[in-house]
Amino acid sequence: MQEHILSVEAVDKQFGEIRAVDGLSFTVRRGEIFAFLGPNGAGKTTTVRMLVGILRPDAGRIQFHLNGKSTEQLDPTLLGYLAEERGLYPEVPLIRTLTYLGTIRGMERPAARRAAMEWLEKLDLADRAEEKLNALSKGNQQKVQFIGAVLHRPAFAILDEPFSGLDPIHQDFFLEILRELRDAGTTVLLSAHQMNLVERVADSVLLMSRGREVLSGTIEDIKAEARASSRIILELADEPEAASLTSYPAAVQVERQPDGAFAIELAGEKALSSFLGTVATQHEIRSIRSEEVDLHEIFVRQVSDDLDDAHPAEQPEEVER
Amino acid sequence: MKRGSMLWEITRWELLRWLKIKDLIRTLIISSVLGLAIWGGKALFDKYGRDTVEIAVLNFEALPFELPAGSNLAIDESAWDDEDEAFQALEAREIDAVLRLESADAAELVVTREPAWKSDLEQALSTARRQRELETSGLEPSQLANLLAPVALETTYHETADPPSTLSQKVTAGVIASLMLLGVFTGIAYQFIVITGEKQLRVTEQVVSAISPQMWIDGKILGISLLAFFITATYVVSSLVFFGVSKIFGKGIEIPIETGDPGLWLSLSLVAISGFLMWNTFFGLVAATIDDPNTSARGSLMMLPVVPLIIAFLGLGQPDSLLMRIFSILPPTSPIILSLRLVLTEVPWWEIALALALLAATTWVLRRAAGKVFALGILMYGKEPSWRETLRWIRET
Repeated sequence: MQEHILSVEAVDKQFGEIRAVDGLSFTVRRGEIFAFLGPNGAGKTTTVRMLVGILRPDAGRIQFHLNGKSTEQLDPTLLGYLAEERGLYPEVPLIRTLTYLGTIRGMERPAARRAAMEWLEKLDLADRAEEKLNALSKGNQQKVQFIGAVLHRPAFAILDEPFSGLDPIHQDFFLEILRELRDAGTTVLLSAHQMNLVERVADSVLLMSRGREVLSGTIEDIKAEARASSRIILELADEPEAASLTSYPAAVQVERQPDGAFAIELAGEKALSSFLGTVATQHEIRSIRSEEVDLHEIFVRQVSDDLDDAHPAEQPEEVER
Repeated sequence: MKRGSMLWEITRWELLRWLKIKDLIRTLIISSVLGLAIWGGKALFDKYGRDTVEIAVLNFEALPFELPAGSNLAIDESAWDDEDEAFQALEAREIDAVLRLESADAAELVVTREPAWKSDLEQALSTARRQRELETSGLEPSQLANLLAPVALETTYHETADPPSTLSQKVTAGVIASLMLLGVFTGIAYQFIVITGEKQLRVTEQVVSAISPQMWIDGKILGISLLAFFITATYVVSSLVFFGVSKIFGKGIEIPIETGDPGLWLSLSLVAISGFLMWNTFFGLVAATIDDPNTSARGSLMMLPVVPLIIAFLGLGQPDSLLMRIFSILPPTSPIILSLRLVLTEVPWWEIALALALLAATTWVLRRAAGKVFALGILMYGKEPSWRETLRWIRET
């Protein structure tokens, strides 16, 4: 059996003058939770729409590998999709809507109704099955939309911004459901902004900016890479200019913080001893503490670098923590 | 799930989503109640609501007259020799009017309120005056009848002529064509709500990742057509209830429907159903190009189905003219004009078959075009494709 359920090779998509996706390549392993990350306009939703077949790539190849076959378009009965632009029928009872969504994913009507009831029970909405969607809170509506995407137990679920509009309790609940889906054999590809949530649930991530990959790998790999460039907070008694610290070869980046301390990014853990040794000969060190760079920091930095390369004056949009 | 089963699921969903059984039952109840109120009320009024109108007639000898049997007018020509006495009675509301006959040609009616019964009185006086004129002229009643009678012009159809259509056949054609138009207009309203509504509800991506846009629009067109059919059928039943109630209370309303010609019924029904499906598919295509029906100018296209009706009226006198024959074969005029020709003249079988085939082909092409336009337009949130874009997409199909 092939290890990858999805392979994307050099995919391009252009809308008029705008290149939304630019030579994107990646693979998704069977049974993992794969997260797409990136600022607004990075090309995540366009990529997702190409994966579900709503848009066609201008160039490149998308291939799904399932049941011993490789196909460009996934059988709809094997695909679950929660769209970013989403809504349901407000005037129809939940159970009827969910049963319908199950049938258009290939389920027989009684089986779809049973599955919908099971999911409603699981998400504490069983007693509201006959209610109309517009009678529910936003969080509960989100739950119903999620059920509509996965009630047929797809082999591959694509969830575009599944956490948007959820409060922290519901976010935790959804993380648990995503893990359950993965453990039950569903491969999950999610696109999200919330780095802290992605960090807790994803096995692999791909960071996009301006339609291209800027970083990818497993969470462990990325964190290990981040640890390689350690960051220290240094407080010096004589408060020198930041520029004087950047002259040390081991210091990659130096920032003066509001309290007067220096946040210094070093070129790897090995650089720490030599850097401190040199600094100690010239300055009096008042305090020192090390700080691990989190996923958010890594991504903001990567996207900033990418945008700086394209437009030096432009800053990335804020990424939710 | 097989394609046919999937299509039925979508059709069923669209039908049940909009079919409000309770509303249809309410419609039937309302027509019963309306029938009861109108016709029962009329019967009640006829029986109990007509008070006798008492009229004092002065100088009755000037034009003696009689009231028809069943009239609610009552005249008293003897007791009112004293004119003042008559007017005092009128003032005291003991009588309703005073009629002063000046001569056979002139009379004055004095009343205290508007006389709704005036025409009955005028008719009685006119009859009496005509009778008097007849007597003074020396003419026999039969001679007068002869004078007034029109020339007897009898129409005889030659043995080679087509048999003339009966009134019931004409009414049947009119009723079926009207029902088709009623169904078309009902369908238009729903097409605009259902198809444009999907975009506004942001449901499109979820659904279109599961089924093709073509299957989705097919299901919608079929579901809405069925819905319009059910609603039209409800109107028919409620009309029958209304007419039924009218008959309970007397003569009621009779509509002469052709019952002895199953061939005519079959032809008219086939043409009507085909026309209904064609128009519904066309408006499915129009709706697929609209983002918001409240602001789109394309809503004005809904008057298009009336155009064949106007052509039909213009060509009514010459149903076999070349132009009418062409219009009865080609869509979109064929459903109405062929219905008209089917009762007014003998239409060759091949013309009916060709018209039905062209209607089916047009519906098919419109369906494909609707699927294409829908597929390309569903993700265009907040704007609608231009005419040029739409035509380009249709050409590509």
